[in-house]
Amino acid sequence: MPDSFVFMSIRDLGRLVRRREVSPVQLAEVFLARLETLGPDYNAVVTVTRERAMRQARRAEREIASGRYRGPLHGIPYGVKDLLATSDGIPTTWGAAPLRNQTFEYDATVILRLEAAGALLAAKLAMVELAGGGGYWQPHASFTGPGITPWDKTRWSGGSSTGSGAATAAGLAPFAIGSETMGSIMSPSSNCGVTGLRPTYGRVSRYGAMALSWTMDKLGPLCLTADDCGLVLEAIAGPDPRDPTTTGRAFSYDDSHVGSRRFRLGVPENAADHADQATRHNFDRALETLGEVSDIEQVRFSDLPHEAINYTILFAEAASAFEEMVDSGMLAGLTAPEDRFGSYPRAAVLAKDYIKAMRLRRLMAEDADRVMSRFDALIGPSRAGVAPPLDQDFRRAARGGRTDVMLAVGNGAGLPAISAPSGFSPEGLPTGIQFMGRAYEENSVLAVARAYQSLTDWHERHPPDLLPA
Amino acid sequence: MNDEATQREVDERLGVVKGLYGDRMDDGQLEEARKAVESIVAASQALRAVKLDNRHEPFTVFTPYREGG
Repeated sequence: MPDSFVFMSIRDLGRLVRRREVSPVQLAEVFLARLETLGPDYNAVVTVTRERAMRQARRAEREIASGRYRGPLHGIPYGVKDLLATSDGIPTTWGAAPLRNQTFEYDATVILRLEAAGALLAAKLAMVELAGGGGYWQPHASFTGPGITPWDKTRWSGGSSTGSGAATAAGLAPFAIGSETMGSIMSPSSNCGVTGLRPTYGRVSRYGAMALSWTMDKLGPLCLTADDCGLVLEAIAGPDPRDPTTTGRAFSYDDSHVGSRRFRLGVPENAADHADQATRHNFDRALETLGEVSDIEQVRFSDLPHEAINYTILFAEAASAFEEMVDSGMLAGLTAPEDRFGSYPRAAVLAKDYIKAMRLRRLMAEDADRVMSRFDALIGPSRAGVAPPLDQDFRRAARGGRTDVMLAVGNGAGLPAISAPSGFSPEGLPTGIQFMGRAYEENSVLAVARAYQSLTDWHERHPPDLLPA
Repeated sequence: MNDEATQREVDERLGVVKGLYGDRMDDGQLEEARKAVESIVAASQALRAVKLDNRHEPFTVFTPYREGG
């Protein structure tokens, strides 16, 4: 009976909690047990925060019993990528062995907002060390071991939000928080067959989050459905005086039924050219499905050096963000050999190139907005292929050096996107499709993704060995 | 930029990296660092290839600070 709550959406679990058909304490016990017993199978968990979750669960139970129901996240357990600061002596490791005992005396804004919504913090989840800030080129880049997708224990879950993807896919938590600088929500969502939302830059406060790139880092949810992503985003979005880059634009999740609404979708030229056969096949099939509810046309971005812009900004900001760690020699204790020296070459980025990239970034953002202004969303594969083997060297796996234009434009221009499961490869690994919108148009991409999920059942498939008995 | 000029730029920028961290890297790591610097220089060249006017400002806005707003 308790396991029947596993793989239920937040929407459905919240309904049961509100009706008092299940208690927050029951839910906490179910998911804490799964985190403790199954988490190690996927290298998904750094710290199970049992004490905090149970304290929050008991409080939620009292509140709900007394008629103070806070909303759909009240009493729902979750996990966060271990780059969000937590108080109570709970370590915040950033995935890095030298920081395994790092603690903070405060909670990140996202954690405070989820607490205010009544959610239960059940785990700090594994991640690639420094969120990839060392320049890793293989999955063994975390002191908790390589993240493993619940669909195949020989394949990678990430990255860099490896634990957030695996925990959601394995039913260890109904949702998780991840972060994305260049693909770190889209990639684990696709590799793990879950639905992940990268909000507009500035939509969610970064206060208390490890900085990799101050102007590119975003925090967002990984869930089982697009609808759940909307519920979580509404709880964590909003201005924060402690993060001056947060937008003053309010976000209210529009969950109204998409019904017979017809969408306008754009497909960037060559969007799927870099993808493997299974990903392309499933993307083509998704286009056919979406054609039932959409008018689809091809689009083209201006010919700008999108990747050069992004990586110049990312490298320059990361070089400064980690300068003290680099200079102290601390990086020598990182897990991946390449991460121990991968930050050094970034000293070769010139200041004028960083400024030039920031000037070109404006042109890129204006061009993206112009292209997207006629559409509800642009669509493409979430990533180029299925989850890679745990022993893969990413450098050798690069597919012809082609630019992933949606990845580059989306992150460089800070645009919202959602990755949803789009099917499986012949070997049973999930693939993903992404829906990317104009800045601050999360409701548009959520609506399209909900429509897609109403026409498909890929998001309802779960690893067979993890289904409740 | 011709290959010789590119190579010179890579060498000069790699010299900065070696000056700062060379004593922490072995030969294999230095070779990987060279490849990384080559990528950084390639990105520089891609950025330089796009001509901008003086009016094109960076996509960051500096705001003078005053306590209390």
